[in-house]
Amino acid sequence: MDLQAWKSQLRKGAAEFAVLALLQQRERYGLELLECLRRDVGLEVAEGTIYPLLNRLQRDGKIVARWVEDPDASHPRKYYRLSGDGAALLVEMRRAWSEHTRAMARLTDEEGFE
Amino acid sequence: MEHQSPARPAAMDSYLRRLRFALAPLPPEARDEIVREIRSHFMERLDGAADPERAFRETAAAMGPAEEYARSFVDDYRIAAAVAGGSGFAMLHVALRLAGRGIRALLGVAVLLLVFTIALALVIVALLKPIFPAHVGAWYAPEAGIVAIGFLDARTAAQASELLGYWIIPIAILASTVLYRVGTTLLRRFLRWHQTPSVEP
Repeated sequence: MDLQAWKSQLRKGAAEFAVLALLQQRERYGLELLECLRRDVGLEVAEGTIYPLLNRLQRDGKIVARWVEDPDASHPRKYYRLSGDGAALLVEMRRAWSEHTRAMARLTDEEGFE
Repeated sequence: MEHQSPARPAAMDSYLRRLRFALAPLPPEARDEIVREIRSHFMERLDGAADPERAFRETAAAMGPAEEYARSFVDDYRIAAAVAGGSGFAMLHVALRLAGRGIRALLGVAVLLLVFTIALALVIVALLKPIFPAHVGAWYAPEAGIVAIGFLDARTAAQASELLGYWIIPIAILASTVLYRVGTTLLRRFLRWHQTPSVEP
C-alpha cells in the first residue's frame, strides 16, 4: 500500500470534520476556512476544493450561509455557520473520532510501537 | 474607511464566464451563488496584492481550468439529485458518468452493473416462464454440464431436469427485488464515497 495514498484517504475524511469543528468556534468565510485548515489543522487543502465541500454541507443542511459586506474588504464575503443538524453531526463525529483514536492508541501501545 | 477594490484582471472575468457556462447543469440560483463566491475568493486573493494580474494567475492555476473546477460541483449536484430520487437506474446513470475517473470507480461500476444485470435477467425469466414454460426454468443436468436459470432450446431442455416449475416466477421476482435493493444500497454508498471531496493539491 502506498503511504501517500493512505494519508490522502485519511485527510479526505478529516476535512469535513475539521470544517464543522472550525465553524463551531465561529462564523467563517471560505478562504478563511481554507487558511485555517492549512495553518491550524495541517491539512494541505487544494485551492478551491473548500467550496464544493461547503456547497454540499449547505445543501445537506449542516451549515447555513449569509453574504456580508465586510468593512475591511472590497467585496462581499459568504459567511458560514453550523446549523442545528450540523452541530448534532459534529457531536457524533467527535464521539466517533475519540473512539477511533482511543482504539488505535490501544492497538499501537499493545504492539509496542515507538 | 472605504476599502478600495483591487483592479480586476480581464482574465478573471473570462474565467468566471467559463465557470458559469460549465456550471450550466445546475439550477440558475445555485450557479449564480457559486460564481459569486468564486469571484469573492479571487477578489480576496487580489486584495493587497502588489501585482493583481500575477495574483489572479497564481490563484486560477491553483484552482485549475474553469471547466474542470466546475465538474466537482456538477458531479456533486448530479449525485445528490440521483441519491435523493432513490431510483437505482438514475443512480446507475450517474455512476456510469463517473466510471471513467479511475480504476476503482470503473471496477465499482462494473460490479454494480453485474448486480443490476442479474436482477434484470431474473425479471425476464419470470416474465417468459408463462409464455415458454417448457424452455424457461431452473435447469440441472451435471452430466451435460448444465446448471442454469434461463431459457434453453428444446434439444438442450430435453437433456436437463427443470427444478422449480412455476415456482420460479415468485422466486425470480423475489431474488430480483433483493438484488435490486442490494445494488441500490451499494450504489448509494459508491456515490456518497465519490462525493467525499479530495482535498489534495
